[in-house]
Amino acid sequence: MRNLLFNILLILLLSGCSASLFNNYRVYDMQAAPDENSCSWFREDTGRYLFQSSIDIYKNNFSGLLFVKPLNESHRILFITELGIKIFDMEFFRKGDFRIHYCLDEMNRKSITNTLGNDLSLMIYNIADNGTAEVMQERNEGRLAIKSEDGRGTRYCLINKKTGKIDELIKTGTFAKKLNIKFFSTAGTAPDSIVFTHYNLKLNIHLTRLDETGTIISE
Amino acid sequence: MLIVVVSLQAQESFKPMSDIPGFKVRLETMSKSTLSIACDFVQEKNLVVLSEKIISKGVFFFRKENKIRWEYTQPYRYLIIISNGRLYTRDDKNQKVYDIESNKMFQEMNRFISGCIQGDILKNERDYATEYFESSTRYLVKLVPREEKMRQMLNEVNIWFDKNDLTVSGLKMVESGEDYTKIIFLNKKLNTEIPLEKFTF
Repeated sequence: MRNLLFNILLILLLSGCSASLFNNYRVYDMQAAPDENSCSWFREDTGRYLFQSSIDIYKNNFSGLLFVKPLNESHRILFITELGIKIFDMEFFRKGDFRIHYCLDEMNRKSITNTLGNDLSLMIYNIADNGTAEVMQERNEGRLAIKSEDGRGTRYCLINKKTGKIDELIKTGTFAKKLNIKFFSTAGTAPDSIVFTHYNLKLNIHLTRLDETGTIISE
Repeated sequence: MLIVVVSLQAQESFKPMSDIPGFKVRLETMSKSTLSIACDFVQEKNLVVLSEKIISKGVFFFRKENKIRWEYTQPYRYLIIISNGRLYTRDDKNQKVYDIESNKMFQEMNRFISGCIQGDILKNERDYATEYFESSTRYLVKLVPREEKMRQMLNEVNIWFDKNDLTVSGLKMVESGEDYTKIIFLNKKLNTEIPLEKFTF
């Protein structure tokens, strides 16, 4: 009886969690949904991006430059200091896995690299690539939300109606929200800034895209 | 629109330096007589595997003893000031102050930056193996860190000196994976009055 009560409570809690996040959404016709990766700001044809970055881990703050480059079947992300010293170099794949090509000894802790790797992977590949995507639509605003399961939790991608690009990614675990990634864009052609907020970890990332047109090089 | 047009790939042929002691004496004299340096710089971060470059630029000030202002202005704003045993950094969001003596990495960094600018780094034969070259217009000194841990971060350092005034015209730091950072110093002004406010924070 106690187990039954606990299970009912658990179900109510879980359904309450997703309902409170998306109680204004209804399930939408999958056929009309955008293709799985078209909502990402980081596609094969979007070229390189350079961000000024600030990473807060517990009481430490790391500032530097985050360089993102799409390759044929992956994305390469490097974090370097303003002075040019490389902190890490990671490669990300569509399935959500990543490879660490280099990481400065001081930062090379599995707990740090795994969390950073998972966060950056979500920034690029927003929807889980395993056929679990389900599309919902806001009743009033008409915004799409794509829900997918990645084995470690559920992802909700909120898509901007005008640009067709992702506005916000919410990652939930079994019980609660774990991570929120917000994408801001004025022109709608590239992300101006990206903000990562963790709910159960003291880790926050803030990226601001840099305009490199003033430093064109001619050889 | 501000467009920086620079060539960081100037082709120049270097041969082993003929008079190393002479070069060292001239460098020492120049270092002693230099009270301040003000210049612009262009930094090229070369990601060799990805065939990509990140170019940034800014201004640099040095004043004896050991006061440095290293300021990036494009495409990002970032300021480093080294003064009175403290290191200050500031970007758009954060500013930090470190006590150089309390951190071995900052001690190394401070020693490295001021050593490169004043040429003192060439005296440090305990930490670096050194080779000397010259072209018709410049001297080139290649330094290879002896310590394994240092080499994981920095494989080789190249410093170019103008033959005319022995000032540093360029700096190249090669990382373990072939990526490198090259800094070219332009519009150098020696021994001009640089107000102390440039080094206060």
